[in-house]
Amino acid sequence: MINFEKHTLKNGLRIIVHQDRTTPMVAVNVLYDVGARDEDPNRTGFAHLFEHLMFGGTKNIPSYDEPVQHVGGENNAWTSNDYTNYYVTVPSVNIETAFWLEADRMYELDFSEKSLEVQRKVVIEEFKQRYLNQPYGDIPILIRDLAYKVHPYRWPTIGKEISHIEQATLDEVKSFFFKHYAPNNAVLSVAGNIEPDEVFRLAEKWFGDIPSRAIAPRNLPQEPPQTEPRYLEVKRNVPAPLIHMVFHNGRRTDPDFYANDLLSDILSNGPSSRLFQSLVKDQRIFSEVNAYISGDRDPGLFTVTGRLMPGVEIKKAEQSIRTELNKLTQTVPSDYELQKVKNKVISNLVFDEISFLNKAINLALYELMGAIDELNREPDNYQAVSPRDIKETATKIFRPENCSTLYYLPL
Amino acid sequence: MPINFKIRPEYKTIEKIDVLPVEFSQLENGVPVSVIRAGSQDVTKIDIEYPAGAVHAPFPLIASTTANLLQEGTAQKTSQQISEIIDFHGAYIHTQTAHHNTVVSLLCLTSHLPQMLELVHEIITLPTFPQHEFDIYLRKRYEEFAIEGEKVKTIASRLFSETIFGADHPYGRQLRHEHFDQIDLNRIKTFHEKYYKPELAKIYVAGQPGDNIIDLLNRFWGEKTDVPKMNYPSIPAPSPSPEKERIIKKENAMQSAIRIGRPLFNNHHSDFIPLQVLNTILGGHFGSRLMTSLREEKGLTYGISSFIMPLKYSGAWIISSEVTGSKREEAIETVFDEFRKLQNELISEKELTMVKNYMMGELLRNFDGPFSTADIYRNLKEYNLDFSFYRHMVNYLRDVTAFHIRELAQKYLNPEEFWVIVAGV
Repeated sequence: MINFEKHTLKNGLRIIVHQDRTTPMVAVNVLYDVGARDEDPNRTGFAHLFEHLMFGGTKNIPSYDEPVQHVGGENNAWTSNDYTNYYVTVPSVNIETAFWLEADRMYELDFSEKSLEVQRKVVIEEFKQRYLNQPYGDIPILIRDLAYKVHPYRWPTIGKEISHIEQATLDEVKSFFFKHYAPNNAVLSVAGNIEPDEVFRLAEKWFGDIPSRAIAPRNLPQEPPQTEPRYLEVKRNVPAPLIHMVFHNGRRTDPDFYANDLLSDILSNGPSSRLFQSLVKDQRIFSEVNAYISGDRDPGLFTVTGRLMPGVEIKKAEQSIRTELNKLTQTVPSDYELQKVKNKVISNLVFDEISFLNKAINLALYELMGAIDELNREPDNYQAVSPRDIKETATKIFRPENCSTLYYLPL
Repeated sequence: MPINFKIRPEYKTIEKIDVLPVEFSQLENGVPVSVIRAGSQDVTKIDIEYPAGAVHAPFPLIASTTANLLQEGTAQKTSQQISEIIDFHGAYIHTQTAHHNTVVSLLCLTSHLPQMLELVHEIITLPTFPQHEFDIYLRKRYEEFAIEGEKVKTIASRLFSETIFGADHPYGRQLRHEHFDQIDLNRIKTFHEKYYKPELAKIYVAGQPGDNIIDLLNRFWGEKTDVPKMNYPSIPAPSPSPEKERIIKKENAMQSAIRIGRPLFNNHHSDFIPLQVLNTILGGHFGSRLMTSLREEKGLTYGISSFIMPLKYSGAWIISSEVTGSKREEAIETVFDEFRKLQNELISEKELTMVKNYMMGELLRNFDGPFSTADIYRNLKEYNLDFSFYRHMVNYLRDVTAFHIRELAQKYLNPEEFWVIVAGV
């Protein structure tokens, strides 16, 4: 159970506070409603590149990191297809420094050619380090392009190709800022050893005078239903073949999200799960299998993936996965099996509440999704899923024409 | 009205760290138990440490395989039955093998502690090591080994340890293809028999384990058995390679992984704490000299870090990064330039104060909550140290001057005393 208080400033900034007296620290989290889905198809990777530039200093505060470290704090950020999130943890006595820094860079950046040039290089190295110079690293790029034809989820957060990052200009950077970075397009959440009234006072003091900005309504092309199976085969310098299958499913906020999540847990959460027991332990087809959902704000993907054991044919491996998926479309899981995956979800929700930073991030995400009131109802939302719901969801998702399959083979 | 961002808010310097108390007791057979009781959730983490480390086995694969197979079948339960119990209770059991020990960790809701402890005890004391589970495990492990071998960072770090400690040294020897042919179940069973005796355990409890935790532990781990006196093999001094620079080419690599480092001592040495400060300045935080120079000024890398790794009978100082392939030499030269700057120029008061404050904040973060406090405590105990180690660090942070830092750099950051390992192009 996470208790919280909420307040909205005149400029539209939403503030959520959770008091946790067990820690000497506090987390200050600013979540912006912008992600890779908001990018120009010719400038993919831009939201993430922009996240790097947010650490480049402003006219008033030339270095962002230095003052954070000076008060004993630590900070970082991440970008996804839906969000860009910035967080600072500081000793709670020094919370005001975090407000000062976050408000300042929400107000205005010091856009410089030099900073852009360096961060372009840094992001290109990140592109290589995480995607291109790793075995199986380019799967996110390949699979999104196969599964989505229209929606901007067709590229990953890092971008579709390096050239898009190389070509980013300073004018584009500026216009991106004023288009998406605004108090009325963000949620400020705070969790830790702090009085809510003090947070509201500081928020008014530092963020209260930042003008709200005109945020264009989001109007993304929605992905039409997939009507036939898609396949892609690539050859790379890797030791073992891998199969990666994705099925279109729903939004994070759809009622059947919980059934989707539990369905993926039945398949692969933990050593007793079906794919692991059947395909890794009994049949020895895979050395590793996994199933998970993306939980995106627009309709997302249900992924099933596995790395093959030596000598196994990829068609046979694919068939073995489909057989397991089909079982779930034909037979309801037992009450025991469903209870098992629910128990695991519920204890994970408890484990998640140990970290004050996790709590701050979750509060902001739920608020931005428009689901803050669901946050403390999540255990009930999972408990409400029935065995029949699992079968119905499996039937809806695991259709061959709803599937994109990537064969990732050794040279 | 525009906001005045020029005025920096006031802040406080962290002067001291409050550490959670440790309740120490012993089971009936003398097994030491440390309990750190805190946290807002009814969750418990229990680490059970055995002297089943990699250096005690004839070659690298044995200790970790033994640990990983504990869950794969006991005299009473199959691997699948064990998995079902763990998952149904929403619990996690995992093992981690280091040089000198293996830790079996349990994380669960406190309400499930009795059932889960019973299971953990069963897998540790009565494993059957079934042949087919052994075969499955090894084939999976081999696949992972092969994939890791494709990563430039893995290639570089394997070669680094081998180079600075020696290929036959217990801290330098690496897992190799032939070990997968040499390993067999007899070796696993012998290793288990010797190193997983209940009386050899050291138990660390964190969270809210309830009032009867010691009774519960006594029921399972308090048993007196006949443990012969253990003789652990001694660890020789490192014998680093005379070759100061080694390069492994990897075709078509887009980046080179670099490791620059030297053998060092562990946390008993009087310069260990001072070097933590020098290391933080050099490459131990986001605003470090190396990050600023290689990433923020030159854009040669996504990240670079340096860290000091203490080992029970040695230690190492390691700088690690993946850099753009064509600029590898420039990157290495830039690292050494930063060494020389620290040797020749005094650090500014401003930067030193920032690093001190950052390190105090980091200590506050590390001692926040029972789980990370227990991890720190267990690590200290491995070196026969206690929390006073961190009191010394706090005192040193208060007193250290720019002159100390320069002196340390002159003593420990001579470029010619470092080894350079490259994997990639």
